[in-house]
Amino acid sequence: MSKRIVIDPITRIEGHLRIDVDVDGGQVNKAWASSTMWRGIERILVGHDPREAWLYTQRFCGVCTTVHALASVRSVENALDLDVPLNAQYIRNLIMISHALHDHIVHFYQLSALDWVDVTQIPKADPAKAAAVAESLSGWTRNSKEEMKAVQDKVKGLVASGQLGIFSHGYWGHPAMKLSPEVNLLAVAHYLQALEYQRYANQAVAILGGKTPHIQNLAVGGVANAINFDSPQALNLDKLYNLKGLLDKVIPFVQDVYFNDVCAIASFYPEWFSYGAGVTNYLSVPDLPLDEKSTKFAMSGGTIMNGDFASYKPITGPKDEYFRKGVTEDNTHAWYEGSGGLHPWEGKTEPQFTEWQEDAKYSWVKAPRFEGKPTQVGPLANVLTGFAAGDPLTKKWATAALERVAKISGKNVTPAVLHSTLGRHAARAIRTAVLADLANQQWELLINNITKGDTRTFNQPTFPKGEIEGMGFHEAPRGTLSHWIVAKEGKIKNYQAVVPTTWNASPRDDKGNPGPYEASLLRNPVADPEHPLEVVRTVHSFDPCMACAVHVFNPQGKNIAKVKVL
Amino acid sequence: VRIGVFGVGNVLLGDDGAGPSVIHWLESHYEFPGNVEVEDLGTPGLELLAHVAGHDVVIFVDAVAEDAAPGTVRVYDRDAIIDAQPVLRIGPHDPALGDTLQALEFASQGPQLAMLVGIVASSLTSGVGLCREVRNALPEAARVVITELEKLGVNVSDRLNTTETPWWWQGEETSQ
Repeated sequence: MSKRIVIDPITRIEGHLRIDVDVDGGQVNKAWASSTMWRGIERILVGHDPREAWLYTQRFCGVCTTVHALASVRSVENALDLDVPLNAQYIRNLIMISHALHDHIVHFYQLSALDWVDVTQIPKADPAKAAAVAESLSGWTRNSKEEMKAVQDKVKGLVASGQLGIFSHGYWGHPAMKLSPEVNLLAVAHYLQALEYQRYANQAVAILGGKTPHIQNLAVGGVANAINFDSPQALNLDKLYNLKGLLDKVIPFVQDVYFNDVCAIASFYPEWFSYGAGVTNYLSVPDLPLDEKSTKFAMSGGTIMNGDFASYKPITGPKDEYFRKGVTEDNTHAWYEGSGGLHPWEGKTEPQFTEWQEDAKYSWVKAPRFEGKPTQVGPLANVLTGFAAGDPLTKKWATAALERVAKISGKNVTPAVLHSTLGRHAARAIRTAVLADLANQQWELLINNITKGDTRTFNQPTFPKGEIEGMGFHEAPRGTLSHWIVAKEGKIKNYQAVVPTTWNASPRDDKGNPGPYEASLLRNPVADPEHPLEVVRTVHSFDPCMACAVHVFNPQGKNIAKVKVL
Repeated sequence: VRIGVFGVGNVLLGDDGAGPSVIHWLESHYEFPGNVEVEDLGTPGLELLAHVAGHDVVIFVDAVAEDAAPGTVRVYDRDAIIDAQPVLRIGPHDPALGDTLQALEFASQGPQLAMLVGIVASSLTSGVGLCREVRNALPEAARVVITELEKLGVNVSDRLNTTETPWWWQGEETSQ
């Protein structure tokens, strides 16, 4: 007999992600992903000046502010066929990289690691052994026995007090937790260090963007930063070296600590390389433009269908028709009018709310499809397409990750294991390590270009008479983001944002094909329906960011149900 | 003493913009000494970590869902903030005020004092602009923040020329 589990962490007036799974014989045999919140923010933009759209779009979501700002200005530049000065490209690239480094570090340590790390095992660890394990992984200087002992004492204090504080919502002692006490200790030591290093990445964004979380320096046509080495207000050498100093702290943390922690944790959970593949059609877009016309990129993009590397097809840039014509959104199972795929420029967002109906409409998320097929986006798509394109940095770090996991686990590990729950975590770590290398490259490109005497940062946009259409994309931390704009006489007529979590959390489409979250949960084990840790692991591996919206504080929040077993 | 006054909320979702609007009110009516940061942080989720770390005192300003008339202003202490957090997190967003405080406390980087000045919201639907009750409550919420700062010995002065330029998101009042 199958059992229905509903995970619905409603914490405010309106909720966000709800997952329903049917469990039979200890594994999931049906799944539905649903957003319980209305997402119609794009409608606010209609009638506004396209040059100001980015100020609104960066308020869509507090975690992904800068990415929506960037995709927005790119969509307008694309509509106007406006070039972007090299300095502006490099400055934007550095902002995007710093933002991504921050985001990936926070996601892994603060949100996901505790799905795999059991804090309550830490008092049993031998700090000397934990330090030895750490030293075998990297030359990171903050892995000493003393450091491990100090963290262990902190955790012991917490456990003894009976108040687990920040760790109170973990599934402690769950049978699916398998790390040794020493690796648990190591992970929590780095959890604490991550709190420090994520700040440096955030400060790097602020140096270039003016402030965070809402950067101030973007403009349609470039950036608003003035470059002048003789002015204390402008972007000068002091600020650029300050930026370099911050990157020099974050990069080793990413490459020596985060990257190795993911490999070490993965080695203890080899079975999770076989769960959670789901949809193996992948999409990523090229990013970090290297020329004024955005035709050359530091990171490649494209598609892979049915998990087959040989099917790799590149996306060459924002003008590539393969991408521009490939994207549709379907409302068959979403709470909007209509069904069947519509191109974003023709996209409609007219609400039609019904109850949650598993065979009809059940989500506020639309179903984006690429050439009609459900498609996964995110770091895994980014890494797989980069690998297929022969990108040297992706190859370097992907190979390093697989070799490391093989060495620690003593098992044969091929690139095929990446199509999985754990593969998404590994790919995020690989991508972060690649971005860390690219941060240095972009910083050098910027400083070399300025030293050559080029200080241009902005091209003035002019709006033609009549209607124009544009598309701006960005390979954001959670995957491919695209903004689609239609403007007429200098005013926005239609605006659609196709966001990464919409691709991944999409409901079924008109053909009944499930979205990536839904497909990935099939055949996931569930040892204890009251504590569906395994379901949470797979959902977290996508790094969901649904609640691009309400932030109301609810003093009664704790009383609202979290997991229901029907 | 480093003090942060942080408005949180989404200005594109009606009364959820209460926090950022109070920040705007504070900035246009008062002058703050250099050790007080007054910032509109939007809907930061766990990104709050980067902003809260390193402060001795943090005052959040946010819309609240309470059984009280819209526009009611209430102050919540640290324990109330922590009690209100979700039991199970799915995304990085869940208000995360409590998570942020607890994570930083565990790392010995947390503020010694944290509180939340809340304004009871009425409508949280997609759209720019506050309802009349919440809009009328902005000066009171701002005064509550100032009173808390004065209790800490902070010297806040009135701006001689109130610069009440509307921010880009401040649309017309929505009718309730």
